[in-house]
Amino acid sequence: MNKGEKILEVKDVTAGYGPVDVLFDASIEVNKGEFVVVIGPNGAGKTTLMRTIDGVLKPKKGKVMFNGENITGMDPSDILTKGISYVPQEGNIFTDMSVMDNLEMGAYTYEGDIQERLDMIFDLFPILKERLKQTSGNLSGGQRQMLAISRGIMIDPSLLILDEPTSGLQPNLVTDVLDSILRLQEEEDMTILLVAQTEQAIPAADRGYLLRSGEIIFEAPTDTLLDNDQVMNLYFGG
Amino acid sequence: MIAYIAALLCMGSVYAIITLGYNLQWGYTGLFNLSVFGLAAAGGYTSVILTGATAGGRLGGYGLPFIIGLVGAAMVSGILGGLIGMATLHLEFGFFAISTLGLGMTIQIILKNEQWLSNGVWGIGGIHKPLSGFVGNDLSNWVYGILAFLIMLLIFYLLERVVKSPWGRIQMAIKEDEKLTEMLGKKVFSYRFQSLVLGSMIIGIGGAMFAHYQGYINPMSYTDIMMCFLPLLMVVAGGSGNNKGSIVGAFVIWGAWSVSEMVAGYLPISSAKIPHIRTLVVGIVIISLLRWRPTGIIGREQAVSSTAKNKDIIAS
Amino acid sequence: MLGSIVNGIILGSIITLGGLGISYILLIQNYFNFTGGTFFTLGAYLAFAFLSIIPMGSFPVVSFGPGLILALILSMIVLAIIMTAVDKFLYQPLRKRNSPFMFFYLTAFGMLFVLRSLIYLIWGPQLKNYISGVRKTYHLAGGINISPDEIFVVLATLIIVGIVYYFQYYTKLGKAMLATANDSRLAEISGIKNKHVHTTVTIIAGVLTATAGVFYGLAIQLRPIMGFTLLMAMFFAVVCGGDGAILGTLGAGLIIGITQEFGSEILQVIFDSTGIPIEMSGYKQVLAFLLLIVILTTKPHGIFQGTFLER
Repeated sequence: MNKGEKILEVKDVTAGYGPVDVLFDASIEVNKGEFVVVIGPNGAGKTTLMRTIDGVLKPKKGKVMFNGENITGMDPSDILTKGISYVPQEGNIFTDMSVMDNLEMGAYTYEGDIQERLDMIFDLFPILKERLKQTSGNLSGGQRQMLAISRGIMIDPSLLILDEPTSGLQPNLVTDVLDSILRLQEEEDMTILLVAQTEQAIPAADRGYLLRSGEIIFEAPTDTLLDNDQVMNLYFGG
Repeated sequence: MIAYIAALLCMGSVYAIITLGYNLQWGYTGLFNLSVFGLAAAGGYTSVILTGATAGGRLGGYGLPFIIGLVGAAMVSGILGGLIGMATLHLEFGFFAISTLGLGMTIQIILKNEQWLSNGVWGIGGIHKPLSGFVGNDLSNWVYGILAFLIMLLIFYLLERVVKSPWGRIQMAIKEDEKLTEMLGKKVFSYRFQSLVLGSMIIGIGGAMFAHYQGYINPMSYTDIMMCFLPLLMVVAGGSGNNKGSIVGAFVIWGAWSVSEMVAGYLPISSAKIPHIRTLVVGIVIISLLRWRPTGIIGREQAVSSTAKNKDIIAS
Repeated sequence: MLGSIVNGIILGSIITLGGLGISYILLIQNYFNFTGGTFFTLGAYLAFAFLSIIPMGSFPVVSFGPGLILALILSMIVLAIIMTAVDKFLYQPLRKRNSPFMFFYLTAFGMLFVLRSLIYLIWGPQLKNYISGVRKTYHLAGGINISPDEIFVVLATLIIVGIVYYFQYYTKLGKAMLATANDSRLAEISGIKNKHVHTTVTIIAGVLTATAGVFYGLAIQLRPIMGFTLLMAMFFAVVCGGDGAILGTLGAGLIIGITQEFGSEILQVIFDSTGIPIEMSGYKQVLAFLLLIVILTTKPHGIFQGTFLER
């Protein structure tokens, strides 16, 4: 089910590190209000794809369009101003700084009412309110993940990119985090692009892509994905 | 002209020795040692104290043979290098560098202040060249030059053996990738320490050779510009981690330096300003090299591993 | 006795400010810029140069006038520009190429000689002063001789350290700089441009360094190696204060200043009474160096670790 118009278009992107290419002619699309998931095993190129969208990595071929504008290879800080917020898999919180400072930094370029954003975040992740002054490096894994996401949504982005936000978390926490992300989509009208290794994220999303060895090999609405044994085999196979 | 060539032979060899010692620390082990000028001074003074004739109130006058002077110089400089190593080698690169600078400054200050040791700022004169009793004044520089050159070659030969040995290869492995080498079970600290001490000993010998050539030294004979910056430039010019390059670099840079001194003498600039202009030029040269042609400075190996350190290589 | 403690506090203040310039760069850019010591000297001499065309004027109580303040501000501007330019043209390309740290140190080393020779060439080796003539001195109990200028230096230092601390930890820009130091990529992703942060760092460092140099010139005098003689002490203040911690630099700066002055006096007394013929006056720097080594080996993360001075 496609909601709204296309806001993100990644077209035929080839990218890599130095002489090694990791992503080959990858193309994905995200429509406004959607929750899109990109699933792939370790080394498939998921983070590379996210980094290319956010400008951390410049692609060798292809382009990235956001709201009709060509943002290929722009600096991450400029892409942020366009409304795309990226929460990386690693290095996603300022470990030397307090929880509150992290949120403040997340809102660095935000021009609206910060307290409103904070209220929303505390509603979503109440534990953060209790730990405001704590140095974030000392938080538990689940709390760090919540903080990482919170840092990313302080600026009320149009598109939120999450790179494996549930990796390394216990199953009950995974569910909590995914529920919170769903709430963001529904209550805050946020468009979500999420990248994961496990298929746990699929039910929460609207549509999914399968990425393997740098190539997009399948795309479908999530119910189709889940029902399709052939597709699941394709993913687990080889 | 002929006299100049003799001087070039002497000073080039002296600097080559210092540069070889420094190159061991810098080019092979990756240590930024800024106490070179102090170590050279310590070596020089030690040799003079051991080999000199009576000194009138000052420590020294033991009249020992030249070779003992060199050995003594090596030992004192080696010990000093070892001391600073034990205290600061475990520190980060820049902190170690500054600490060695402090050592160099301390040695210089002690030499300036302690009359009983070094005659303070007045310096010590009348230093004999070895074998000078046997030849006349004209030839003594040549004799010394050949002697210095031979000693330098000996050190070069020994160093080449050392760096090509397993010990030497471990040093390079440490410089390239410290963590990896540590995981392989090699104690990084003790390897670095050995390199530091050995290099310091060689620098001490160079400092001693310098003193015997000059005939007169005072604490400012071993300034940080002449005895630390120039050797750094010589190592760089020759390509770090390259012993032959160090020798060539030493002769070439010394040649350029001494020629510039003569040329500057003819220019209508006050003589007080000349050393500063030359320092300025040398400084600009080093900075420019770093900015535009850095490979001469790190030696070929590091260029490869620095890309490997880039964490982006780790594909997800 | 007390006199040398007071002298130590005055010297310590200057060391603190000079050290703070270096601390700042260490805190945010992660390398120890020992050219800070030479820029320190340049700052002092620039103010001297400006004073040749600005009239000094006079303030009550202290021996200098608004002319010195104006000269200081101009010196700050010029120094900040020079340091920013050096950072942009020499260090920025190294950062971009992901160069190993030794490149930075080598360049800083080269800069040391370039600056030193320039200062000798332009201003010569003679001692200079901002104000000629005898300065007013208060003679207090306990053998303390202090001039209003020196009191000004100490008070101004405390105020400046306070301002810098507040800026760093309580303002958005200050925290953004800390964030960049923590994780520059995440900072960039959060909209904090690394380039801007680095420029701000060098500007602030330039301002602090120039001030320190002028204070030294005011309280003591100007000579080409003034920065170099304080290098060990500044290093102590920066590193032993806690790897660039702001308050720590103040604490350690005062400690090393007092150690140099008071420590050498005490040792002199001890030496004199036991007949050891060492003249401590030449050895002040050595004292700083020895204390530095002791602290580096016993408390490598700074003396104030775990106390309120660790930031």
